[in-house]
Amino acid sequence: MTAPLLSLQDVSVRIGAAAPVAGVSLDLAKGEVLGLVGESGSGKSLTMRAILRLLPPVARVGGRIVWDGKDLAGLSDADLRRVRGREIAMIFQEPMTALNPVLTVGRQIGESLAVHLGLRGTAARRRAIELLDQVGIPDAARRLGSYPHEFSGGMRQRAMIAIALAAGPRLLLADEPTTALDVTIQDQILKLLLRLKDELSMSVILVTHDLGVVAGTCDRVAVLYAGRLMEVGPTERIFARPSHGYTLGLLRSLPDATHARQRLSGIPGAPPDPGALPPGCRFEPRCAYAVAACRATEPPLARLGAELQTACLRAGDLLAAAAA
Amino acid sequence: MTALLRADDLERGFTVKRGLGGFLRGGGRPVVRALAGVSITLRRGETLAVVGESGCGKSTLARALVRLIELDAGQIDFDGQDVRTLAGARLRQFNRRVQMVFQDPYGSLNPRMTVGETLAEALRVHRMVPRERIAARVEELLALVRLPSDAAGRLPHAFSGGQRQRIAIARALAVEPDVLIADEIVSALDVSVQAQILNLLLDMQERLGLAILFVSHDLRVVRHLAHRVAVMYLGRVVELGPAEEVFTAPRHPYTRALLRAAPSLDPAARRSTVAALTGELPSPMRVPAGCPFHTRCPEAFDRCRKEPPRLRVDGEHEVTCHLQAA
Repeated sequence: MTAPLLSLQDVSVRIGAAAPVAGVSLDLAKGEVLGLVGESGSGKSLTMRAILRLLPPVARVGGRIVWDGKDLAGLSDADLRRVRGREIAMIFQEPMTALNPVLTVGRQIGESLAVHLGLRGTAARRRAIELLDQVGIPDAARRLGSYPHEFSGGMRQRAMIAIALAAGPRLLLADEPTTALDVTIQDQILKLLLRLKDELSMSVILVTHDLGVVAGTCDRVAVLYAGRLMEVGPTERIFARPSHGYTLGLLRSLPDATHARQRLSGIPGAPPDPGALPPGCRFEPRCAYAVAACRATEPPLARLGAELQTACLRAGDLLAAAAA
Repeated sequence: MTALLRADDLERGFTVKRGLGGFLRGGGRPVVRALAGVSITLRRGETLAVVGESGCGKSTLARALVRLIELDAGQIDFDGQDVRTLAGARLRQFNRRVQMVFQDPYGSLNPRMTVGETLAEALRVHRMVPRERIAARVEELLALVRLPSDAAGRLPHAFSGGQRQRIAIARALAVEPDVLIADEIVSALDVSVQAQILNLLLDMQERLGLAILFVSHDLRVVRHLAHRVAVMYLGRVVELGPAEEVFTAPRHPYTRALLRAAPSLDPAARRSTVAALTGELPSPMRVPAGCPFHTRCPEAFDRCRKEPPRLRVDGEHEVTCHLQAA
């Protein structure tokens, strides 16, 4: 296997005494779409923001974030700025808070083109029109003069993607980019991201709480629970045969077409407070498969075969049960 | 089967503030028809789901049914009574028998009242039980929605989102309603918590024979819960029928597109790279002539652009589409 494009090594985020992200290790290959999935408070957005150092000063980031052979955590602010936006770009759930409301969309794309690529004037304008075209905004030349509030939610998300792609990044961090959108628009934006990824040979980390979005878009999936990775592996494999009690519980929480109006098995209780974690595996109190050993020590994320990693002591039993 | 709640031809328009341009051009204020002739029935003990994208009028419909929004025209009939003319004791009785639960339970619970006080108030206002039985009944209600009995002494902020939604449901059930109008009540919840609330709704329906009008944009949840489904687009019901039929053999092109766009849970079924539906929802202030869906419909033909389709009823299944005329 070639060296990963991005490698998170034991990354943690501490806020006061709590560690809402604890020891996340994750590799991303070139051209890959990785889904980072978890429920609210699982630390998925914090992990993304830690990569680009977008967290407020109270949050202390630990571990190594290796991008293209260099540790981002060791870079000076000036050096990091050259990576941010130009090599790694990020889009957010609510474009209205990420876009500047008093500048036209054309101006905001132009800014990115000038800062990262030194493009100005006619060349910048031509490139900006190309970008809007590429993300499917009709009548691109005229729309350059529009303000974000004149766009619909879906069009704003497209505009934000255009700005993010302006400098030709090799990695796109997409933090719940379709959560606020209607399902037909979500479908359009996800298809757009997949097409752009191929056209521009980018890699994508897609943060989402929606397992349906993961199933339809991601090559691999990483499951976070209370700040810790529970399971990482190929999407098809994990959906068919999860090796962690939490993943299994999540999948069983979702209604499927064949069991209409029957009770869902779900997951009892609620996630722990990051400041008051249970001993051992942090999912143990809610886990249907927990045994005494699960309370003793926190299981590490261990390799299970060539492509799967799991942090569950019962992984072998779960897989055997799924195969039976 | 008899209808418990019947809505006929509901109409509701909202006037929109004009921008400076609109003001200078003069003329009347633009009107959005949030409900443009909506008819539905809700039967005893059933779940009718209302689905559609933002702006389709599904929440307006829910609110109009409980008279939180006044109608411009149309008729609502509940158990033989004309709801729009109810007043006094009869209106109070209607307000007790038809309960509404909202998406954001925090916005609908009084932050300064303990959960016990909130539930006791509902019991007292509607004289559900004698005064000395109130405390015991509060405890029963908390057990019903599976909250610990010490929850009664705490304020809403001490609970998680899912627990607050249980409190809101407990308050609705306190007055022993016949109908529960649920507006996106699981949309803000994580899936593991959402599953708990869905189970609770199924339980309640079985034990209390509740009729539920379940407004949601989540097709997966709707398929799990609903007996019948109404699909709305731009203030109109475009398709209504038994859930199984609507999901396995949808007849309206919009329903088909919605189902195709909804993310499937099967990674192997990764579908085409072409989006299910092109274009965006037209501005509700400028609804297209003819069939309002024709601007996005992959199957639109000449007639769709000129003539609004009429509702066609085929047994239990209703569709508003010219394709069904053939």
